[in-house]
Amino acid sequence: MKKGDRVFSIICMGLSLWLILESLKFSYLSKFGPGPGFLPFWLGIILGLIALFAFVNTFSGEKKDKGDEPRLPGWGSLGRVGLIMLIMAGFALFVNSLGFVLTVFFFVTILLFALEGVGFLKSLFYGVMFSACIFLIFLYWMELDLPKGLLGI
Amino acid sequence: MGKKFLVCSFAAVFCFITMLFTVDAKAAYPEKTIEFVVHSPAGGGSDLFSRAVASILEKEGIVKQKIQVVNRDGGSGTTALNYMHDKAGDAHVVMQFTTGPLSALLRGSSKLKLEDLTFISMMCMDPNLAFTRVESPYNDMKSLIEYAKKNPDKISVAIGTVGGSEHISAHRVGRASGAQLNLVGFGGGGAASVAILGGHVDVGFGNVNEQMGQIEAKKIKPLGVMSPQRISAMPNVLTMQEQGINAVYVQPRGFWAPKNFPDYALQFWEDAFAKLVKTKAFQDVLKTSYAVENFMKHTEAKAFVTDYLKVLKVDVDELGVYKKK
Amino acid sequence: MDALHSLMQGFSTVITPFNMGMAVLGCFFGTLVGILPGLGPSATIAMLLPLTFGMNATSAMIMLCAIYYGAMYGGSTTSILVNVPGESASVVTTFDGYQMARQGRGGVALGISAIGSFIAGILGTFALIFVCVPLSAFTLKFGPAEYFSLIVMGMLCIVFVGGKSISKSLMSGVIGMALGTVGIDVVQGAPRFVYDISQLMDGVSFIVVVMGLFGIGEVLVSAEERMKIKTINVKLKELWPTLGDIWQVKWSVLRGTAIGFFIGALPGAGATIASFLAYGIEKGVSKHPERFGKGAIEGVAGPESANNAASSGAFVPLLALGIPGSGATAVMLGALMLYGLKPGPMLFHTNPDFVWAVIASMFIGNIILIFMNLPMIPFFAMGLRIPYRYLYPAILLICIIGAYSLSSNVYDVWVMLIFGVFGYFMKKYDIPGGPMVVALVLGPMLEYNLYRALALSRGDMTTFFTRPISGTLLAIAAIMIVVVTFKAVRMKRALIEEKEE
Repeated sequence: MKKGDRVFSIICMGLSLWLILESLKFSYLSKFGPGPGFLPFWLGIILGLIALFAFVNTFSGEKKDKGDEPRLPGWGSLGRVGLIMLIMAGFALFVNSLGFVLTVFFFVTILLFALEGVGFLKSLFYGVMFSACIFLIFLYWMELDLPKGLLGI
Repeated sequence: MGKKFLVCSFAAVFCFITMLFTVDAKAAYPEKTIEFVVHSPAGGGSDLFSRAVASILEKEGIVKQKIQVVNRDGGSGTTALNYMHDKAGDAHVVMQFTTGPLSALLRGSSKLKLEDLTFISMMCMDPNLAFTRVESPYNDMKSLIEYAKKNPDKISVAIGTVGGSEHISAHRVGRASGAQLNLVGFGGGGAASVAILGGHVDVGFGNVNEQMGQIEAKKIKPLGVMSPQRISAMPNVLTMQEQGINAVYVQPRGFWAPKNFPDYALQFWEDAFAKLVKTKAFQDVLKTSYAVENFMKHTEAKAFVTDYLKVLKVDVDELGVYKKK
Repeated sequence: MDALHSLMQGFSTVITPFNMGMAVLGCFFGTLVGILPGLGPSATIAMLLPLTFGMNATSAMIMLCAIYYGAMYGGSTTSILVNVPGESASVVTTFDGYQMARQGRGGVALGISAIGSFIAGILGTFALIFVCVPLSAFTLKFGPAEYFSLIVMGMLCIVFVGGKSISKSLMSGVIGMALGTVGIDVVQGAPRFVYDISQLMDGVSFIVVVMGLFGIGEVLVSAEERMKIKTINVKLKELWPTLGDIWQVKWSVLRGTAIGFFIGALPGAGATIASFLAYGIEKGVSKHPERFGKGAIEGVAGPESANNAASSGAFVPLLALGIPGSGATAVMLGALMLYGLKPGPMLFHTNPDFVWAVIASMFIGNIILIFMNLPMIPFFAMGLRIPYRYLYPAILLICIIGAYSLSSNVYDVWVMLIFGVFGYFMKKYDIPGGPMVVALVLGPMLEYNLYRALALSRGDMTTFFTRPISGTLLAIAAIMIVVVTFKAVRMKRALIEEKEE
């Protein structure tokens, strides 16, 4: 808990500095009231103060039980999380050129096959099922404006 | 199971692609669904206008294909312009333009330049007016401006977005009369109307269409119209020029297409909109929205908008609204 | 009596096979699109608007209202089941609703949300009939100064929706407010934190942030390990709420309805704020505030009633003043004009048949919705028994579709993914996301109402205290701060005493 809090408050202090620096680019006041720079400036100050308080606090106070200390999982799990994010990023990258339905097919098949250890044919089957459902519900029936891509679907 | 499907789907894809290439593009334009691009989110004034136009074009049989309204909202028109930039050469994309996208062109916030667009037509002009609530002591713009001249910043004006059409109207009135007005941004027409009805703000500018209900209910009274001529819906309300304030503002509405829009497509749409203007359904839309028909074809429309932008540029520069270097 | 008579006539207009058909169809479509995250009520109405072209104004409006209500009912489904809010007004429903689902009580949460929405919808419509005109006159007294004070009150919710650590809640809240400053500012049109990215000019989309922080973040936490993934044990006995459950939340529903209707009637405030306030109030009055965030049934009932009552309330400015109070009613206003009606204060006089038919249709719409929703609940709740490895790709896909269809742009999907990563780490390090989203909604409103109020008073700060309504609201806020601090101190003391024992 302590270490995480410390990192978070340091990140917040960085953010606060950034907010204050950015806010100086804009006028602090308008004709009668606050200008565009007013709120970011004060948010920066407040965030910096709270973060400083939280940072100092991590050094004092009683030791908490080790048990409920949240921490990151092992590298294996982090890798899984990273892979899921990568596959989703791939989705966002390719969806415009491949079209929505085809991308869904690859997305589901790869996710199930590579991450969940589902058999190849079974993954393929679920991929087809998912993309068929997406096609029927969102494109055919609801006529949502989803990317069409290569095949026109 | 999987293999069989794969074979089938490959066969289907193959057939589909061959079909695409064998169809002669010019034979029966438009051969597929047409996109109507709108710069505002679903439900805004421009969006509803586009949806109404699309539905009339389909129902009257002027366009035989389906028309899909697509909202590319964002960045006060910038997103829609960028979208048009990416669609260069596409014969199935048409976009409605009005103040938002036009100011975005002036700001230079998109990848697109005015020269990149293919003008199809001008459709109509939305008249704007200045108004206040009925309890207000002012009955016309003249008396209000006289007071404002003696008391700088005492008169508060509700404007929508910074650099938007209400802001331009108020700015032109201020410039022409020399009065110092206290302009307060309200972000949108709705919030501004509430502030005026509640008596929190002295005067507002806006679309006639949006205020008509209030005017008829005698909750709001018009102070003057921004058009060069009086509006047929309220013949007794004087124009700004008639009240000695040399300020005019109208909001154009029309359609344009991306760069390299094929000639046959341009021809088709010019004709389609010319036919549309003659339909009763479209005239009804104009009537209910108090818009004034102002149909122009390709060349005229382009010249009109180019001039319009020249005048608008002066205001935008004076207002000091953010411009990209 | 006069009103009741008109209402009866309204009913007779609505109860024709065609109009009833439109109501059922609207409820069905509304619920369906409402379930899909991202697409809120206003987008749903706009998308389905062309369906109504060619109908007369009354039938069309009946269908649009049905869609509106349907979307509000449907919005809570994904919030409760998979922690992805269907629309911004059901964000708070995730706080306790999702926890209930994880405890196998998803059906109860869905049921309470539907029943709360139903009661709120019916009471809200009654309120609409009787206080529409006087209430609209009162809401007009709310100028920028009053909105500012109201939002200051709402900001106190940051403390309520946060976790155990006050400093972390505050930091999260300030970051949320900072996110709210992204985009073109209202004062001078200056682009703040835009860095030449045109999409950032409109700011950071609230619903995209929420889908990332809560939806994607939650999936990442659950999918961390293949071994850990197991299905939630859905208790078969608890697919529906019991009468006891309903009785337990009666006051929450009523409080939610009252606050929701009033906030909804204020033009521009809206259902989202109403739901936040209702949650704050429920937690504030509860004898066991520590249960909130861990599956407290009141935490679902209050906000869900509030957001539905707010959608009835939103009709107050629309019908009495002709001014849209929310995004969804703005679309309806535009639609009314397309049908040739002139929305405005005269609507009650010029088209009474129309107005009363629409009001009558709201009663019928709510009844249709409760009958449509209750039988579906077990199916939805049982959906959680699908093995997680097949469920989570579906959740991710629904999030992607929702984010994409907001403005048909992959950009929103990227933003959602980035916030998904943030959400994961925030969850891991116990940093509450609630304050961030509350501040993201309220921050910009706070800023521009402050600016407007000061511009109108020409820089006079006393305007916030000397205006009666604004002053009262600020006084209430001050009292709330005192009470909350007092409560917090007492809780901490109790905690220390417990430890010492």
